[in-house]
Amino acid sequence: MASVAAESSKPSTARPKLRRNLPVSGRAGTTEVRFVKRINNSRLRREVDRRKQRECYRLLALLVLVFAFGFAYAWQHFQCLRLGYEIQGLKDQRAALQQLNRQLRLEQASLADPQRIDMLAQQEGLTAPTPRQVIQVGPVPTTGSGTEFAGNVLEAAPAASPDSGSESHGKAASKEQ
Amino acid sequence: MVTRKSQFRFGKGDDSRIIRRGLALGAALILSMACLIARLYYLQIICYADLTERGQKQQQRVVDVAPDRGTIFDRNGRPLAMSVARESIYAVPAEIPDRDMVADLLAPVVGLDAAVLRERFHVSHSFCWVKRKAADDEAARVRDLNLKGIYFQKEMKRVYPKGELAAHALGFVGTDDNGLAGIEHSLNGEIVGLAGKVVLAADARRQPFLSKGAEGVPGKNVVLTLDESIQYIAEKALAEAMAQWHAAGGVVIVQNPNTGEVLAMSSRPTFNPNEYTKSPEEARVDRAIGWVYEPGSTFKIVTVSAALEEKLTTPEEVINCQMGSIRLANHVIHDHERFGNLTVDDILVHSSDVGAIKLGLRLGKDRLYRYITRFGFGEKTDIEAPGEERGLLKPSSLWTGISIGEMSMGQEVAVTPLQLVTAYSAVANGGVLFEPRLVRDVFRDGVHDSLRPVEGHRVVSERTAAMMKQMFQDVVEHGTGHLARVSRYTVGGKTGTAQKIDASGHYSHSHYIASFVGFAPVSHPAITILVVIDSPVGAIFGGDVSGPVFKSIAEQTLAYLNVPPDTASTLPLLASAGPRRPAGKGPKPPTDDDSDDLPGETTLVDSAAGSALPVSLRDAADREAAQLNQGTLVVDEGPRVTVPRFSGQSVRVVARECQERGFDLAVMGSGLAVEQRPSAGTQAHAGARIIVRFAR
Repeated sequence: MASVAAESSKPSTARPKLRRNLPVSGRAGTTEVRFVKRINNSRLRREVDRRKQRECYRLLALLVLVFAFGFAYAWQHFQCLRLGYEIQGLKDQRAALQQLNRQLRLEQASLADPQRIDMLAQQEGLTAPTPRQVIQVGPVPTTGSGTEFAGNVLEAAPAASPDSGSESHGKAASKEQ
Repeated sequence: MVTRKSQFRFGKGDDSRIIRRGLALGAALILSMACLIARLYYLQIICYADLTERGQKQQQRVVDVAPDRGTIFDRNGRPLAMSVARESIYAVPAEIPDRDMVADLLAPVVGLDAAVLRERFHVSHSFCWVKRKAADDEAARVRDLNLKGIYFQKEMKRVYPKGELAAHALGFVGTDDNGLAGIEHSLNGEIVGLAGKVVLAADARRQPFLSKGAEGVPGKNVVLTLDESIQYIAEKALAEAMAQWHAAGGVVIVQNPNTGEVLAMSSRPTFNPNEYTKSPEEARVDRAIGWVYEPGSTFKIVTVSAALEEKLTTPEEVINCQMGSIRLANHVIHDHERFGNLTVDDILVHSSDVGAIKLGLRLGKDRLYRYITRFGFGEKTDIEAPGEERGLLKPSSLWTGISIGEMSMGQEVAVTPLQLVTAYSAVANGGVLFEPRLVRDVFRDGVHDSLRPVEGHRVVSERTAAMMKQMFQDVVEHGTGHLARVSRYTVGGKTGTAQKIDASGHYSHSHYIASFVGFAPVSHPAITILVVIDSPVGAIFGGDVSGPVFKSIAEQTLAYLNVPPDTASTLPLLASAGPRRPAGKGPKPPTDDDSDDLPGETTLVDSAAGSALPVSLRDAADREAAQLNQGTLVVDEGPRVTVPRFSGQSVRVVARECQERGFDLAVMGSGLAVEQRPSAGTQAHAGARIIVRFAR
């Protein structure tokens, strides 16, 4: 209605309106009524275009994938860097510990120098035992053939305490002979 | 609409201008793009390799990993040579802003002359060493200086923690970690290992975050046959003898006669392998294998063994020694004493040259030469150490008329100490000559290299060897080697006194080589020891100079190896505690040591331990010991001794008490005595076994 009113209130400047009930030739200047048909299409549902939807999803999935790949790549890259630093730090630590181990073994070997021990013993007033002061206890090497006897003697000889890996290795090696 | 249209209306000239501008812009854009693409092409395609390399240089750091030499152990796994990382300091002079100032700063820290450093900085622009393998504190102080253009690199430094101990056997390595002498040289291929190269990826702050590449292969470890303790015993005794006799040099070798393994090998003068450059070259010569000398009477082992093996004589045969002289090929050879008739045994005991020459003449030059070579003289022993001499031995075809006489008594032939000790080991073990060995094992990561098997070949029969051993024992007990006697052990050996050849090519009358070779115990030899003293001053005879050295080494080594005594003399002497000992016959007042250790004991003290005693007393003691040794009654089971209560006592106390009473102690466990068998108060014979269990 409003539109009708608006239409009617408008001055007819362009061309005269024709009346409907008049023949065309006589309609000039007649009021025209237009009915507005109310259309409620709110209930209308647009038909889903499955194909386009799939394409859309695919595109989305692709984007997600690309993003995920990018993210994974970046994460992996930075993780790699972080682990690289960590590994390098651990390697340095291992090298330092190995070096320390070597230093300590060297120090131990230097401290066990027989000459040093002899000197310390002399400072303490200790002297080498005379043959009469040496008392053999425990099992002594059996006497058999010369070879067996000497073999037993040398295997029964005092050995260094195998307190380091390498030393015990050396001892084990010796026993395998 | 008309109006708008009129606003954007261009004339014909405007259109063409716009088109031109557009074209120009497009062309510029295309040109710039083309330039960009061209540049990219140039950088990415043409300069790819170069730029990649430059980029890697900026991002990556290549670190050379020095080869890690294997450790050298003694037979008990005690390290004798090992490698530790040291910082080497180097400079890139081009990066140093003020070279003279840096040289002045560094010189006092690294202990170098500033002028030397300045010269190094000016000679090279890209690289020069400041100090290689610097000490830790030096490197730390240089690092603290934070000088531009000064860098550090890790290198392995060879360290010999025992200093001079076994220096000649071990050898030494050069600055570049290559073995230059000793085992370090001969087994360099196995010990040296492989160098590595590690690529470090670094960030903008030069902080490494990734490494790749080979870290190198460590060298193999070597286990020697040497025993550190025996080596020290030998070196100490040799050093004392050198000082006592002001000798020019000396050698001691201790060998296991049953396998040929060298337990100790000492040579003087010596050097410290940690600072080998500071020692004279002659000090670095291993006299044990790289020095030859005329062995003198110690060589009679070949002559007499050969004569016995060929059944040309017996130990009891009497030979006329012609009152000390013999004529041979118009030469008269004199003995050191005027001997008349001597048995073959006495020829060795008194070291008669004439007697030995007569035995050599019986053999003939071909047979004598055959036995000389059979004993290993004139050929290298193939021990693992480098620089071994083969000795001097003329083929029998080149011998002169006097040669057979000279060789029979150990002249006109030169041997290495190792050859001689190996020959004596052959007799000691029953007649089999074993190749001497210095290396017992070579291994890495639990994988052991196969070494040459222990090989030996018989040079004389067991019967001949047994006769020789008995004669050598007589040499020590009754002859020239009496100063080599060892308490509680039988010793066999031979003295040698050889004239050195002076500069004129004649035998010197002032310079001698005094030697003694022997083994102990005679019944089951555990060690053979050779002692050679070069040019002693004050005494010349091997028995006087080298005999006591042998005794000292043998005493300590036999005790260290826990070799059971093989003379029964000590047991009755200790067990009898007076009653069985003839009164007033050669008793010796106990020494301070003895009185401290065995209070109240009045038994005989063995002659060897009492070297400070007058000879008469020592001889009396020896005679008594010999008398007690004779016959089958070694331990008299007559009187019984009460077994004491050992409960709560230490092993030392129990052992001493058992020794005093003549009991044979068997120890179980450690700590204090908690149980014994037989129980306290039981009457037991001397020599009875007492088992005592100890616990903590």
